[in-house]
Amino acid sequence: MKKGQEMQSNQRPIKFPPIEADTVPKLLRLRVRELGEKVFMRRKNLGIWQSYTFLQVYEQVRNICLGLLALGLQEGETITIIGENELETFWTEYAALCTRAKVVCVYPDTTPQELEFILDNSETVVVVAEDQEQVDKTLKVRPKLKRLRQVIYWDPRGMWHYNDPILTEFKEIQERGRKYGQKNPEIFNQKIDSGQSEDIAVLSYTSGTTANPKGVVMDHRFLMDNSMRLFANLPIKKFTRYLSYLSPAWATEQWFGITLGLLAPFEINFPEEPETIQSNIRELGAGLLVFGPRQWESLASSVQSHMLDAGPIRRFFYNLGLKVGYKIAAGETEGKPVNILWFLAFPFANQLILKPLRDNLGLKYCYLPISGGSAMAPDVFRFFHAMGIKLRNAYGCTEAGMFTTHMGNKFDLETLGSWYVSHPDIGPSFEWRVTEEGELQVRGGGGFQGYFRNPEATQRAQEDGWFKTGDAVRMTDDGQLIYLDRVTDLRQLSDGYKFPPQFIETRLRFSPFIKDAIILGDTEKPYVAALINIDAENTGRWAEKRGIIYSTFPDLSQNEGVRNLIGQEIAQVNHLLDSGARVRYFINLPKELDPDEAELTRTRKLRREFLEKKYGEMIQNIYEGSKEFLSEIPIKYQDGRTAVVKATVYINPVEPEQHGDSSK
Amino acid sequence: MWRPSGLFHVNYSQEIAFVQTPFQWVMLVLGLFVTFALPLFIPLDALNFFIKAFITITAVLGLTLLTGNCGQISLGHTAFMAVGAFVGAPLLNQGVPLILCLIMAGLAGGIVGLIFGLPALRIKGFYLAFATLAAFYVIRFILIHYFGGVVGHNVPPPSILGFSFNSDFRIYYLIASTCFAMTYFTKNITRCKWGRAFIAIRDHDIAANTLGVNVYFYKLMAFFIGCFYAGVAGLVLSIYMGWASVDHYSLTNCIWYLGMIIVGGMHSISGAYLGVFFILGIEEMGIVIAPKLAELFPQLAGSMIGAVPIIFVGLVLVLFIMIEPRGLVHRWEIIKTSIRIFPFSN
Amino acid sequence: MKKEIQTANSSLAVDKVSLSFGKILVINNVSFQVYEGEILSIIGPNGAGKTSLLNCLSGFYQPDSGRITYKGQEITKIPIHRRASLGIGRTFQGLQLFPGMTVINNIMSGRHILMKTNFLQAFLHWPWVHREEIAHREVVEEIIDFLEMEAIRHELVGNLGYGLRKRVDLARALALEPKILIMDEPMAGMNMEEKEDMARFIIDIEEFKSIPIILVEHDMEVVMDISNRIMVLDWGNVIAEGKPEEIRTNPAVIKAYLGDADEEVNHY
Repeated sequence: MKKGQEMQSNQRPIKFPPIEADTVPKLLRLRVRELGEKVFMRRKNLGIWQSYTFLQVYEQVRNICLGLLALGLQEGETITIIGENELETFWTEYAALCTRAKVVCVYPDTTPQELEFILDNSETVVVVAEDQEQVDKTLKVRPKLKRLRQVIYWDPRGMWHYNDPILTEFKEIQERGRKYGQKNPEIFNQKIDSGQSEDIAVLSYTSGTTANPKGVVMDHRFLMDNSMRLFANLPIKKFTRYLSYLSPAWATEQWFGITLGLLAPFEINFPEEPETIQSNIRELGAGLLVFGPRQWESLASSVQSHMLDAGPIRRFFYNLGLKVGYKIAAGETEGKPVNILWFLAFPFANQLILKPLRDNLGLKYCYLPISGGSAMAPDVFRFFHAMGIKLRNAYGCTEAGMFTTHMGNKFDLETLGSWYVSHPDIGPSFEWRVTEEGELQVRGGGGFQGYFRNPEATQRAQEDGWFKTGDAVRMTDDGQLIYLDRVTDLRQLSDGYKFPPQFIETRLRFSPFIKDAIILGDTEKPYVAALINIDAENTGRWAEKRGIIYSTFPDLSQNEGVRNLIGQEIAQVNHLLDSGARVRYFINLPKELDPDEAELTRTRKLRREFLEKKYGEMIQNIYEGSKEFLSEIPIKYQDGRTAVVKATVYINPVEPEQHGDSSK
Repeated sequence: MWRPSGLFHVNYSQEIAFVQTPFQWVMLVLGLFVTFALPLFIPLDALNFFIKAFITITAVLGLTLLTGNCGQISLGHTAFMAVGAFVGAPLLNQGVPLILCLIMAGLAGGIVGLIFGLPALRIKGFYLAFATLAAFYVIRFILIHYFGGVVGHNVPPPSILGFSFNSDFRIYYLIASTCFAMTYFTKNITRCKWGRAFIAIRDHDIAANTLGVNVYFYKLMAFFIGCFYAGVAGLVLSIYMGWASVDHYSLTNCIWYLGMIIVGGMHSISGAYLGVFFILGIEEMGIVIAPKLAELFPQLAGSMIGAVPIIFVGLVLVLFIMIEPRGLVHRWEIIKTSIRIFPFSN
Repeated sequence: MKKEIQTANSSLAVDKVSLSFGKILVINNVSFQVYEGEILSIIGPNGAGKTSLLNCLSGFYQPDSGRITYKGQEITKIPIHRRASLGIGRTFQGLQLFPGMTVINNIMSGRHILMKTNFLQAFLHWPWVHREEIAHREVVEEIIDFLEMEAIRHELVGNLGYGLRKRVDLARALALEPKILIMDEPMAGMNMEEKEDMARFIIDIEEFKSIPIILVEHDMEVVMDISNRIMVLDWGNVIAEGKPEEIRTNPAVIKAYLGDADEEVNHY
């Protein structure tokens, strides 16, 4: 079989607090008893922030829990919550966990088909939906779901004339719960006491880039394990002001918001509307921020494009201040030697330029910015570090939890960080190994619990008791991890050359003018090519500054000046690659990639197989050596009508670099 | 609306307060402190400048409400000031308490303003300006011929509870306090239904009507309130000068006041303050430089020397109308934003 | 989800109204009723007299003959500003928002008739005006929530896009708690998504507040979709009136108007 490196994770002297509660409900009760009158949650509603203390939240959770019990919810049954991040979402999850039911959270923009699959697969009996949109979606797929008994909703707007017997208003459930609690005052505590750490808490459905979603089983121990990893290994402060904007459908929010939110505890705030998230972050002065790499990249490019718009004096000071920042950050993070002059210049640069920059981005009080979800180019990290925003990577997967993060002050930006240590009382220590093919496998800690009702997939994901992450990685000498690509995504060209497409795509995306890139190249193709989705906003601004006239996105993307610009950006990335892996030709797509067209997942990961099929003709034309090609791309409007985007698309060569350049 | 990061509101009272951050509180207290400590540190000439400024601000605030907010041009503002003086001075001579005199002066100015504002119900803009110009002359005529306007009334130093304002030093405090009180009232008017009704009438009076705003009523009230300020300022001016006479209330000043709100910014209180200080400052500068200019340009010597400050002010007005019609306040807002979002630019 | 309208409850009645500008007859002997709980659309080619009719309802024009009755009371001669207190709310084709004010203040100006403090209290601000401002601000925030405008509440309306400005206009009309809402081309100049949003708001308003809505609109799809009844004007005359299905197939209407319905008329 395979021989790989089996190493114990580095035992760093980490101080773990004792485990006072082994389930989420017990942790909630514990915090309420300790901190009763302190503000726990806030939501912005009708223009002002309304707060709830621990006791008040407990009251709400109690009523909902008892209401669900009164409704007939049994232990072990499944309840699904669909809605934006609101107080009710969290309260319902806590309440459902108290009843020892399983909780599934679903993205609010899930399609009806996906919803049907998830509700069926998870054996959901009760759906708690936010509003009319979600209720309509649920009712639409109800016919095939025989187990579904109740649909509860909390925003009644638009549903004043609905009279389906399956529907109940949230307020009513709370009222029933209150009355139930009056008659049975002890039952809430009993329910919490009866919870076990092995009870299944959450089923987290991974958005499959290929087949149907799979429901990852998470018990309370798993949730506790991961939040402990975060709490002990990261400099988390008590009562951190946290804004909950990541959907709890993503495991990350289950660990950060739902569980760590109680463990630390956080002050959990809920945004007014999805559109106001950025301004809410700034308004509150959030302390901890988790964003996917896309958002950090777009934040970085927004700074750069703002500076493109600023006058020469400002640009001068900005560049100067940033240079100081870069030097100091390189010294602090990467251990490079720093001239004393930079240290002297730093206080001025910080006060005059770097601090205002952080304030403009709403990051004035952010002490723990984290990038999670997938790999991000080191240059982006350096950029934020230069501004004084000590961004760290966090790497893990839904099935097996949080693996690594950049810890401490000094870390290697090329890596995904060092390994988390799991709490010794929670399970066997968390371990990893890398197989001969370069695949990362893990075991220990809370452990992979399998996929719900999917024994084949569960078996396929494991090997000798290790969980197969499917990620191709490289380990450094000091035990830090470099992410290459998905093992299955490493690709071979027709001459056997293996290259990392995601690596190239990530680097391309660092350009402010490129929003997405699809790298092409496989065993039948002799070289690497790319399909580019330009960033309409930044490229548009660039074009306007140069007096280039355009009217539509297809227009802009095929403009000669724009094509030259993109060619230069690609050439810059080619600089870093081996000659065999360099991008030779590219096309600017005449239409933006869209998750609603199933071209991307909700977290904006590329759906490669689908894309290669949809744009097959375009790809063929590149490798046939055509110069241009009339493309016809079908699209769907929001109201269901279909149309076809026709555009003449140019196939552009990338300027060959001088040979003999150093490459990665 | 810019707020610093980390400032969030838990009730509406906080949200609508006009002092939001500790920094703003500090600035406010500092401003008040500096104003009241000023006389201890500056020479008498300079003090007179500030006294003149505060009196003018009191009058100009009325114009901010009437013309800036409600959009009704009034070229007769100083006439209403005169009315206030001529009603208040005799009362003061009779021994009526000061506060009551001020109120009566204001009411008198307001009521006369309301009467002469009646044309506003029918005409706008250019035509209304002429109607108010006519009002100026009519009032002046009446005051001269029926109220002893040219000779005027002697105004004794007033007193409150035995404390007599019998020196410039003491009068400064009276005037500054009055000005701040009137500023406070103005701020209150602008942030309630009255302020919004005025602005609605200025911007789209038909839409205002549709929303239930009785445009006729509010236009007249705008005149009433604007000229109330004039009346109060008029009385205060006559107290400072020691006597009330129509000569203190000139047509030139009517135009200058309008100029001040244009230069400062028509729609805001800060605009009134900025405009008044700026124009009066230019005028002072003109007075100081005039003799030196006269040496360079002999045509300016002699009786023409008085024209120099006027030319300066006129020049500034024209420049502002051409280059920055939204006034200093607008510039200041741009500069403030520019500093706040540094190194980004607006 | 259109319900049957109770014809027993008439809200607004227009009886034989005519209006001329000089020699031009703009409205000729028009009569119709608007019932509680319905959305009545008025359609017709350009120049048919629709906006003039609305302006008579608002009081900008006095009809030469005929009567307008609202909830049993004749309002033909009542001055414009008093119609708001009766509960007649209006949005405009050309918006007529107050550009120097923020979105919140624009909507607060709609609360005018419901604010009762006098100007002496205004001078002092505390405590009466302060309390009143807060109470009305709460109502305004609910309207902002209803029309989904949280992200723009502190923006100056001059900086907003056209679609959002129309929403502010609607919010302002709703602020005076109207018992009947008159909307003049609310969808003009909007893109597909904005029209959907606006249509949804109109339906929600009608359902939630149970007030009748008179809608002048050119977008046929929307009109057919959301109206309970449609009235067609042509050259100042009513040429048809009835349910959408009836209007769609009415030959006179097709001849006068729907013949060139494919051409979407955009007003700014």
